[in-house]
Amino acid sequence: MARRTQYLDERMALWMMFLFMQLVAVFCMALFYQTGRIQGLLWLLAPLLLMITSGLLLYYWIFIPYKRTRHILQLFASGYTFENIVDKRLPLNREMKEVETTLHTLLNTDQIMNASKRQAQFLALQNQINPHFLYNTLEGIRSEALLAGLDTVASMTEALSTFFRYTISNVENLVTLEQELENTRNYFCIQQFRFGNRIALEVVIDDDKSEVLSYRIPKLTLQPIVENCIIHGLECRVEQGMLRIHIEITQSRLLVTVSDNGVGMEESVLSKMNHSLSVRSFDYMKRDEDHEGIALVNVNNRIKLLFGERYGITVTSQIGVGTDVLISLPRTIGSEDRV
Amino acid sequence: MKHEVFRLEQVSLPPYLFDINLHLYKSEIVGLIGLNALGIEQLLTIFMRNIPIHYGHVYCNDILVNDYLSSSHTQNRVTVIQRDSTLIDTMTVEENLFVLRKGFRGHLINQKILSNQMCELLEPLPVKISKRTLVGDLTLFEKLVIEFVKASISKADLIILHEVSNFVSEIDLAKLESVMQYFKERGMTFLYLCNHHQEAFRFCSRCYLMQEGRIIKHLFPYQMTNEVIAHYSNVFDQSMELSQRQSQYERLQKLENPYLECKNLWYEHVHDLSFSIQKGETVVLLDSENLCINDLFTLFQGTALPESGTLTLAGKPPSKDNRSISLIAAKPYESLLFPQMSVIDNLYFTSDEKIRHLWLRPKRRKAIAKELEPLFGKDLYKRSLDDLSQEKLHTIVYQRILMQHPSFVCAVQPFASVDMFQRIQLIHYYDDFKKKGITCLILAVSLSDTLQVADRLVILKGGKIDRILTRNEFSKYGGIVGSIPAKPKE
Repeated sequence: MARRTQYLDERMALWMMFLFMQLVAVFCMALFYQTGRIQGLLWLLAPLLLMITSGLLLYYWIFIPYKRTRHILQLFASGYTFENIVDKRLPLNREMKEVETTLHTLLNTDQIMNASKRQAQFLALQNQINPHFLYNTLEGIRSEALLAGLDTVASMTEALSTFFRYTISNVENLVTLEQELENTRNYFCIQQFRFGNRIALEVVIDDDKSEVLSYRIPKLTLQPIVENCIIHGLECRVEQGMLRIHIEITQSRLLVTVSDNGVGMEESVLSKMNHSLSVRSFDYMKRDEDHEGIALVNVNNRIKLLFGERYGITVTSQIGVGTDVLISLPRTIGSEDRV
Repeated sequence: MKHEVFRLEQVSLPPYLFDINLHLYKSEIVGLIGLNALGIEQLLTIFMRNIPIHYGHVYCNDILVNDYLSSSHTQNRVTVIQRDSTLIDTMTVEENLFVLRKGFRGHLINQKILSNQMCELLEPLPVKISKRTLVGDLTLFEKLVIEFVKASISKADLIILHEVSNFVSEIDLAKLESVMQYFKERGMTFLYLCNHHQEAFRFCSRCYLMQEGRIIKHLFPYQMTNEVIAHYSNVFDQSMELSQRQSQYERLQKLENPYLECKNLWYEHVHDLSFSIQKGETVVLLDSENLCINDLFTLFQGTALPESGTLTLAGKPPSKDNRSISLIAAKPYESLLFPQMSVIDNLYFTSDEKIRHLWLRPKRRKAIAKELEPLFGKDLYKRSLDDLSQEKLHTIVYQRILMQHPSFVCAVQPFASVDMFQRIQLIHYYDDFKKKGITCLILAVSLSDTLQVADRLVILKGGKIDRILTRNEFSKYGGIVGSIPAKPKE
């Protein structure tokens, strides 16, 4: 049998009733004592016991649950949690519970997920482009370049075409880490045409490579981060820039750390970014698209929506040292079903 | 696959901890370097006990043990090894290891079995302890090893080494490395908490840097270099490299009329010790075996006399009534201050000899208070020391000594258990001592930043002098922990 939900206002009413009965009992006892119906000081212990009981009831049955509910509401208001708003063990009252349920429905993850995914695609492309027209044109350029003996142009066009194909055409949410790494390498290859040997990419996999590469992660998780590292970190660096993708697995998680030895971030920028990463908000979508860190917040939100609050992104950075982005994901091996 | 032993996820406990993300794998030694002390104690508590947190999740062996929704207040299997040992001195090693542990239900104790088990456990380790030895009779290093063994027996998930270099000598610290490696190979995880990166870099495979209650950097092995760390400690480096402060230590001292003279001194562990210190000189006496520091400090206190030989300060033996001598014990904010007295009274406490009629004339006290106001702010008028930070308490101790203006200061491990910003502050106080011509002797088991304020380094071995290095020879000493003064920047 399902347990009936209790509400704080019901408990308050019950406690008030108990308090009223207690007062009546004390009044009656005082009356009886005065009229001599009861004698002996031991009777005085009864109201004392009643008072202690009501105090304990108030503390453990009402105050502690109320404190917890208030804490969850505070966290929700500051953007820390979405999930636990409806899981509160003691809602304030029935109406409040209904409001929370409606709110949760409004925050339906599918809708937000789609919005977020679209945002990711926009960020990757910056424009709405007809994919087939783009692929055909790029293939045309590549053929012309090959015929003219311009191998560099041909390979650059091929990389660009593969990158667009991956970004626009595949609609599933989860891809294998291998596919994502391949796309990242592809993107890096395109950037290398611009930067030459000034930037280098290293992928370090600590465990069994074939197993690690088969884990599934949200599409466009790594590339936006690598793009951020290049544009905001390595581009301004005079010496050679190094980008490292370090992959580890634990009992339940897949940890990907993207580190660069670029210029790093100012403390104020970093704390702003970490705040956007720790709270759940979609305000970033309204901002100017060139704004630094949108990609990171977007990826973080998608991860949290797909896998829950315990996963996501953490950023640390220091001027002159570089930036580290730690992506925490669950170990997922499965079919290509959409999440 | 790595086995995650502990994981802290977005753990926040304002105003001490903010968004702490940290993970520890099985069989590894991870460093946690505190650039300042804020939040370190709270973080240790979160590791040990599942206390209520503002936000975040704590996982032990991938099982959620604590989060912001429910905190069970239960203990995690975490052993903290710090200055105050958890072993009971009056009981034998066997009893400490096997009887005093959770889950021991035996009523009849077979000492023989316990002793044999102990010998078996200690066989591969570099300690030789005979059966039924009292813990009180063990050396500090042996106690440490026993604590490791105890943690291993009680199947601790994590061992936290809390600033061990503050109480373990450099020689023992080097031996500790092999012991840690031994336990690491057997699946133990260590969190090495310290203030100096040199120390962490030597023992740990990766490190976390913490400042203002936040993890500011996760250092991978390839990032554990002096170049990377320099970006985080540049406040310290810039402060140390000031040519003005460097040059005052570079003036050569004349060794004609020494202020402190120690001739063929014998006392407890001190064996035939002879050295002298010139007036205004700062000398670090490094006892890397941790044998003589307490004995020497006792002699300076004037509460004991040497067995043979002489120890004189300005030609007189040390006396406890001599107020021109100032002795600073380890953790002075615990032993040299009176928490129930006001901040001002704590500051004036020893100044009455230098400032005449200090206690009789309130005007004089007010005038001094006005001078001290920029240093302490509103804290100066606090009626007790209860709410003051460790940094402020340190300031009171050292400011009081400056006001007392002694001719000799002897300090034990002054840079132990203090964060980078407090170390900078302390170094400036030692600079002030130098400027005022106060002779300083620093007694240390590990160097920390003592060399930054030293003219000479005297290294002890077996209770007597092994080597003496002048300031330009400091780099020849290959210690584990400590910074070496840089050449002054022009």
